[in-house]
Amino acid sequence: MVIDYQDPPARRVTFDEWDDLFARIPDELIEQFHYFPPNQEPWSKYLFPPQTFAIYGARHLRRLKFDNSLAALRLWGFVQNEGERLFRARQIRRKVVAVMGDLGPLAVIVNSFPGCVAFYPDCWWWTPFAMESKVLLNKAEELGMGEASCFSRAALGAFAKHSYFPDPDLVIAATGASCDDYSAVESLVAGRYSDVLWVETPRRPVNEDEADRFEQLLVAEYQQVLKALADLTGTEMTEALLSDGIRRANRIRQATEQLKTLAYQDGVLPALEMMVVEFGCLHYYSDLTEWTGVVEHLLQTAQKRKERGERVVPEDALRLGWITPPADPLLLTYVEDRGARLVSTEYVINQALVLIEETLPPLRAIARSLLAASLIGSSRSRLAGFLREAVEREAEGVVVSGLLGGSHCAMESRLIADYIKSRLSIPVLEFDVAPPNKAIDRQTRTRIDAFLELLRSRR
Amino acid sequence: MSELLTPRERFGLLVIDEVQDRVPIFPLLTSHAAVVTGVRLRDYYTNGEVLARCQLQAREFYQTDFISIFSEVGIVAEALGSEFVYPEDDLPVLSSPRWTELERAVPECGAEIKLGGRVKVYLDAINYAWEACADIVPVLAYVPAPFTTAQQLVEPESFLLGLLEKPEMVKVLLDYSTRAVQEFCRLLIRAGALPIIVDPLASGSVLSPEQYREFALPGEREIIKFLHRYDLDVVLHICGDTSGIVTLLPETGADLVSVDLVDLGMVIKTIGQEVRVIGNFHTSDLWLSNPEDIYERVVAMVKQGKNCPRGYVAATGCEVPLATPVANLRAFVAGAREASGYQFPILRQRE
Amino acid sequence: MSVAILTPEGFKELRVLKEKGRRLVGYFCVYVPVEIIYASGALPVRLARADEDSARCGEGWLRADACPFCKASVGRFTSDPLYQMLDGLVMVNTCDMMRRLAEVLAERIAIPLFQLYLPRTAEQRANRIVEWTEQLRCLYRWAQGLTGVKVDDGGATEQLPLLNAIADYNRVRGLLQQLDRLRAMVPARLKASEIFDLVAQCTRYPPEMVGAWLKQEYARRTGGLRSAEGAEATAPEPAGLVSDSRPRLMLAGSILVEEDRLLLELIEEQADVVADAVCTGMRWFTEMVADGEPLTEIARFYFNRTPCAFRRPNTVLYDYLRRLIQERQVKGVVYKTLFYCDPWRFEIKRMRQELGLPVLEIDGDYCQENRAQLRTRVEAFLEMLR
Repeated sequence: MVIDYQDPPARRVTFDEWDDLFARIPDELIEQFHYFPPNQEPWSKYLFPPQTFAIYGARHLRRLKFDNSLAALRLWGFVQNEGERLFRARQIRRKVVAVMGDLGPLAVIVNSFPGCVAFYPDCWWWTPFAMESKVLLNKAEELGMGEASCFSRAALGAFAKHSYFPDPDLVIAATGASCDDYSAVESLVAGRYSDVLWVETPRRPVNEDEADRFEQLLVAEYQQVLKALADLTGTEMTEALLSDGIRRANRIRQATEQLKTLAYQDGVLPALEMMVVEFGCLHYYSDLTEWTGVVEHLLQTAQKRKERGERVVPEDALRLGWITPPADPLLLTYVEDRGARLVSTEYVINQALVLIEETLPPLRAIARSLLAASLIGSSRSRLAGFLREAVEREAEGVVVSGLLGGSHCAMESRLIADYIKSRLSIPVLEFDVAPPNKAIDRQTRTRIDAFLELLRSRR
Repeated sequence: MSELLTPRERFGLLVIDEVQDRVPIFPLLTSHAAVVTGVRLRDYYTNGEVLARCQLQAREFYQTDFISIFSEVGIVAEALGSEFVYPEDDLPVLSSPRWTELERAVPECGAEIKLGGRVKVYLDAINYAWEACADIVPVLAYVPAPFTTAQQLVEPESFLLGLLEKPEMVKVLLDYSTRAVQEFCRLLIRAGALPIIVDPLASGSVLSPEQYREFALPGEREIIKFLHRYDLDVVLHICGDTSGIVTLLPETGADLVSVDLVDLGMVIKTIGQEVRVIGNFHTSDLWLSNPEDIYERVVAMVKQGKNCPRGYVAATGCEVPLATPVANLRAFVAGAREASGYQFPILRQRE
Repeated sequence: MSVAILTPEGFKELRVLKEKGRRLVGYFCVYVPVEIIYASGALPVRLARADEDSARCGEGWLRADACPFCKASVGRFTSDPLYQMLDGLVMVNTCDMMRRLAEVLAERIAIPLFQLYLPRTAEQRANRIVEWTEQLRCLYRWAQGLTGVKVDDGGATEQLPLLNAIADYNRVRGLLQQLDRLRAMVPARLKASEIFDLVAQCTRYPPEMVGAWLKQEYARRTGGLRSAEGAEATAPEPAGLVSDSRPRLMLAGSILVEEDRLLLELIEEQADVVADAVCTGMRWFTEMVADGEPLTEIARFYFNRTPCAFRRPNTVLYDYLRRLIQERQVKGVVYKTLFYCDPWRFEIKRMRQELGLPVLEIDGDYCQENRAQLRTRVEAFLEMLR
């Protein structure tokens, strides 16, 4: 069906402006997008504006700026709807599998099982920011994880509440050379709420021998996962199914990589939407098939914009690199409002943007994809790709946003800042993201302003 | 001891067909909020911040599950030009409808909608409440349905006669009213409230089922359709005796239906598979009875209501009367809470 | 020989060893297999020293919200002669901060550093133990490279030093276990602070040195009636009711360093700490390496030892605590954590729930300013127990 809708010229719009745009969207278009395709149930529509989610408590949306394309609206509707989607998944008898502490590979495996939906409880760490709420953080504190831990403790609160996602059919928790805060969340979930299948995450190998051994170690770990999933679903995994799962993941990774270039090099997508997309490579917002559609829709939009010479951020904006996800999405809106744009990112998830090798036996390929993970290696190894892009795109400054109490931030933020200064000779701004609030705290705002001013003066 | 779920979380589960920790509790606690917080009614309905603060305090005090932004059903009619007087200690009263006769209204019904009056009061109230607590409590804003609004745009006599004698003219007015209500909804949505459609003048005590289907239902359906564009879960509340139109209510598209002077068991049996049911403690009893009786009867009501297949909200049949004794409403909430628990979380069986 | 605090005399002992050609290999963690370092000819020296100044010094490289022990450990390398005397450093991937400490130190210090990878997941799966064993083999090679004692024929000659090292350290652990039974007695006949002192020595000096001393200590404590080694390894029977006057406590939590001795002394003024789950205390000696192929057994021992809270799952730790509570008639728990020590800190509520005993939570760094407050809290807790 051809539906008459043309995106307006590319720009970032406010919350209210989105509602005006939404009024122009034909009903037929809203009817067109459903999650869990080919399902067409009325409840599975998701093309709704930020207003919808603000009414249901996502207050932060009112303060953000959004890309004004239909594809971006689709992105936001899809992402905001994830909690409900998981409940619906259970209602239609899909197996809901919580994949905790995963750095990409386990979601690929789980999604290869027909009828399985993998989700990351970890990602409920955005909820306190989206809702400007302490509800989940307070719940986590009641259970022993207070302000000395990073915001990922919200996931513990979400488990305890039983109302943000359904109680999973299976909980798989990866841990090892990963962050302690989230490992503590896993431990407490295991102690109170669910049996847990533990999966080892080795560190980044120090030499080739170790790399070979770690691959074997991981393959054996993944075989346990396959067994648990086979018990759960009654489906025996085959190499063909797994290979197909890898191809589907790669399709998204490839599109995301292209989008990154279009956003960070050509400035055709805002940083905020791009961050949401980057995270999607880990867990696909609990619906790999529809997420593929969302990302490819964005990619088409971005490509069209490039062809037309449309941008959402000015070409002469200050070029920034950003390290560690900012947790508070408002920070990205803010730096763009202040005349900067992102050209390189390292949100501790860059391994999920790299293609999984399709010529290797599938489990080995998946194992190998993990061993390049940002979180499990040294800070230097983590930065390699970031620095390359930052140099190519002539970054003028780098922001390292940390999280108070985050185990890796405490240990590596200084190291990272020093390393970047020594390699790139550009200014670095390091700050901790403040707890959820409706505005960026004054101190952080002032520091960002001063930093951007400094960069401007260096031109 | 604090409860596991917030009202927001509880309502979130209800509207996606998931079991909650307990039935949400929703006495239609509107202007009584001003009385219980010691605020003059005129201040309440003419100042959005005051309205919101009264609501926040009253909710906190009674421990209910919703914020109700509402004073009276004339808000859209007033916004379109009907005049109301504002008694100091009572709710606004319609003094002069915009049009004296239906005939005069019809030629002007094609005009662009511009909403004035106290719409800003509502929006201020929503904004304030939303900023204060929308992460924890759903903020509901009551929207007079097109039929109820239309009836306050024209002298009642002319309007009611028109239902019988000039139905086409009434429908023109209703279209206009529908556009205005839709615009009103759009503003509420932007401000952060979940609209709840109220259509008291379409009650069975005013309209026959046939008239309801012909005049009231289409406007309700139209507004609900508009709200469904936003994927909002829509509450439709009709006061009085709606026995005759119960089967029609799902046709409006409402997701939750709030009923008043009808047999709750009948309603649940009739439409409980299709919609969530809200109701329906008799408000006169709430006002005039004693806490002990109220408690017992609410317990009985909730025990019956909580078996509604699509879900249930323990509520009063209509607005909590202004002069309701505090002890009575507390007894209502206590009784509702006593009987409201579900097994939560559900212990799932391996499938 | 000195007790826990490294005195000038104690330091001199190490200096003498070093001058005689002994390589000193530092390590922080109870998961470092001392047998392997020792078998390669080096002396494993546990680095459990931290104070306010060194932690502050460490903040030059790490953020304020890093683990105080990590910060202090970095700081110590600039100020502590013991740390500066080391020839090598062995670290383990345990918690995230310790794992990352290796990278920070590698940037700052010139001595060789070996980082072991220990699976955090603790269920005994073959793939994990195989890899851990391989890690130990690599360590052995590394340590031999450091000392120049290269035996890598994989046969009996390679095994012999390991078997000897196992025997030596098992002997030390056995002696400590016997001494520890004295503190389990009713009333306790040995203080926890003394146990911690003994462990500090055993992890700093060669086992042959401390072995003799431990035997003497045992004989002294038991009035010379029993000799330690070869004696029946049974604790004296608990004598009826526990004394009300001195509450019996258990200590659990983050690493206790030499400078934390003050806390123990404070508690011991009025109570007995009859058990602990601390890596510089009882957890160091509570099990033995079994007989068998040495590297395999060492690997099993360390993989399966009573776990630090960072391992997943850590249910074995809870079982251990419950067992001690029952066996040693513990009435309360002092739970001492370091700021930002995630593995221990975040288990506190669960710990309270599962142990079902009164718990005194002490969360701190090496700052000494709040000592008076600490005393008040300890006293109030003990009062409550009575």
